Amino acid sequence: MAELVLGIETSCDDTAAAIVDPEGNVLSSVTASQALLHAKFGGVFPEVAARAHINKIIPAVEEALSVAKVSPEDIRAIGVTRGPGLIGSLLVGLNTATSLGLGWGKPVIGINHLRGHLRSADLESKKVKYPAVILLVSGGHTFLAYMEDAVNISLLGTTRDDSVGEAYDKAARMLGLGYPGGPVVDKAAMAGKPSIPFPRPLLNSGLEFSFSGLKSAVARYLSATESPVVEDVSASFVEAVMEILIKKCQRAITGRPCASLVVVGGVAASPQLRAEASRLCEEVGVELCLPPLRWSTDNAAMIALATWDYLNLGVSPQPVPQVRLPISEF
Amino acid sequence: MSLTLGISTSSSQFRIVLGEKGKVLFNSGDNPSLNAPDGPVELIKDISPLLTNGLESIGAGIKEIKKIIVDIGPGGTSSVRTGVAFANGLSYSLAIPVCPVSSMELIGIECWEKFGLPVVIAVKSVRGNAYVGLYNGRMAGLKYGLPEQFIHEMVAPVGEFVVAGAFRNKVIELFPGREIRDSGIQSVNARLLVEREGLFEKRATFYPNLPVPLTEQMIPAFD
Ligand SMILES: [Zn+2]
Repeated sequence: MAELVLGIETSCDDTAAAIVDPEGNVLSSVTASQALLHAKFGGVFPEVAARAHINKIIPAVEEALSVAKVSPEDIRAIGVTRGPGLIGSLLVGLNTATSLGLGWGKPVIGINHLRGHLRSADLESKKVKYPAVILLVSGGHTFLAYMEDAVNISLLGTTRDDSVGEAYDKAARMLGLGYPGGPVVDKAAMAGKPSIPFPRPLLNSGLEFSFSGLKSAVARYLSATESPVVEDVSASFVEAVMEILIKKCQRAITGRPCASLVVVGGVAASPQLRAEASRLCEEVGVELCLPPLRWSTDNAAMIALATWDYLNLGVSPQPVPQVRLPISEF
Repeated sequence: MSLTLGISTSSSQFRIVLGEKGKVLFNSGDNPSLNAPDGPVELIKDISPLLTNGLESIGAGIKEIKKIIVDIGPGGTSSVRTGVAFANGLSYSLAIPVCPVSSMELIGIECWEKFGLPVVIAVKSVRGNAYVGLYNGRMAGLKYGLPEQFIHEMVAPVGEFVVAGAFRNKVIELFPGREIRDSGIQSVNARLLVEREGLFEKRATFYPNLPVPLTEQMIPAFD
């Protein structure tokens, strides 16, 4: 009975494979993280990422099949991230998926990684009430999108420079807190006072983001201050980030019909963001949807769920890389 | 049919070769319209059309492939990785063996057979570094680093030799005043993956011991 999708994700530094059924139930989801490999670079190093993918991809697929207790005959299609992402990383996932599909006689569909993220809140149970405003915040992406339903998606605003995750990583590096930056900066912030008036770029206009000015302000403050209090710098940085994110969400929600706000991506793990988003939703009367953290970071289950959308719509992009694939495309 | 599939992606022109018992039945290089375009890696995307076209043209199915021989480089890093990822996925899904062979050895074999002399193969890497191999009927040496630091020591045991590989001019340069034979051969002849398959068969491996692209970390660096 071929009623399952095998999802494969290698757009950045996580090698992932998952088996998902048509209802979005996750039979298995395997992610081999490279975080330790990249820690010494303070960010993702593309060449190292691609090299690691090639070692980890087949073991990840094997484990996904065995945890789900299924065989290739149970697979209806393979969905694999075709972009956006790092070219070397994408090529490994795409070529592996293509040859698995040839060997097993299964169709292979190229999936937009961003559509995977946007659908991640509906894994395991349908939680999103449409129309929805979605905030995707991670190391790779920062944008607001509007979803009339699961497949009709439009971009509301993206970042002009750094992603939120990059801003966190850079702040963490400047503060000597380690990598990845999100959890360590958030933790330090909780012990500090937001006493430094860092700028909030683009706060009062539109739905686009910009974080490079904030990052530079932190750098300037650190070089000009004799003995900066790491906790206070972190708290001031996080307060600025949160104010920007929440203000943009509020503007997006109030400007159009909206039943829920969905926050996804690695930065959705931030306790500060979860608390602020919850306060906003209570205030404006929309439902807040925060998927479990395991679906918030890069994973293959979200790619598999998006694959079901593609199958249901009958769209099947070629499994070839598109490094800069926009959200409007499949 | 009991087919051997050869995959070589160490140069910008991806090659798929299909054959049986050492005889080439299909070589994507013989069909210019199938060639991957030269140029940036973004354009070199997809091996599967080469393979499906090859199978179609010889009237075979995918399950008739019983063995894969894959070029693991060195060469273009992204392109080699593409070929190895494809080979590994196919080996796993068809449960057939895959045999790794370096691009240096393939170039060495062709040159050795043609000239009957030891072959120095040089492939350019970053920051003046190179992969340099010595082939004399088998791989007799392989080093990574600045060629000027080790090449003289490497060729000392051999007399006359011939140079091959895309960086062979560098080798010629390092022996001023000496007549060095230039083979003119700069990249892999993918037919050899099938025609000399007997040389590579004993390296047959399966998941979980799948090949990885050859990198400088796999070669003890010259110091
Ligand atoms: Zn992502």
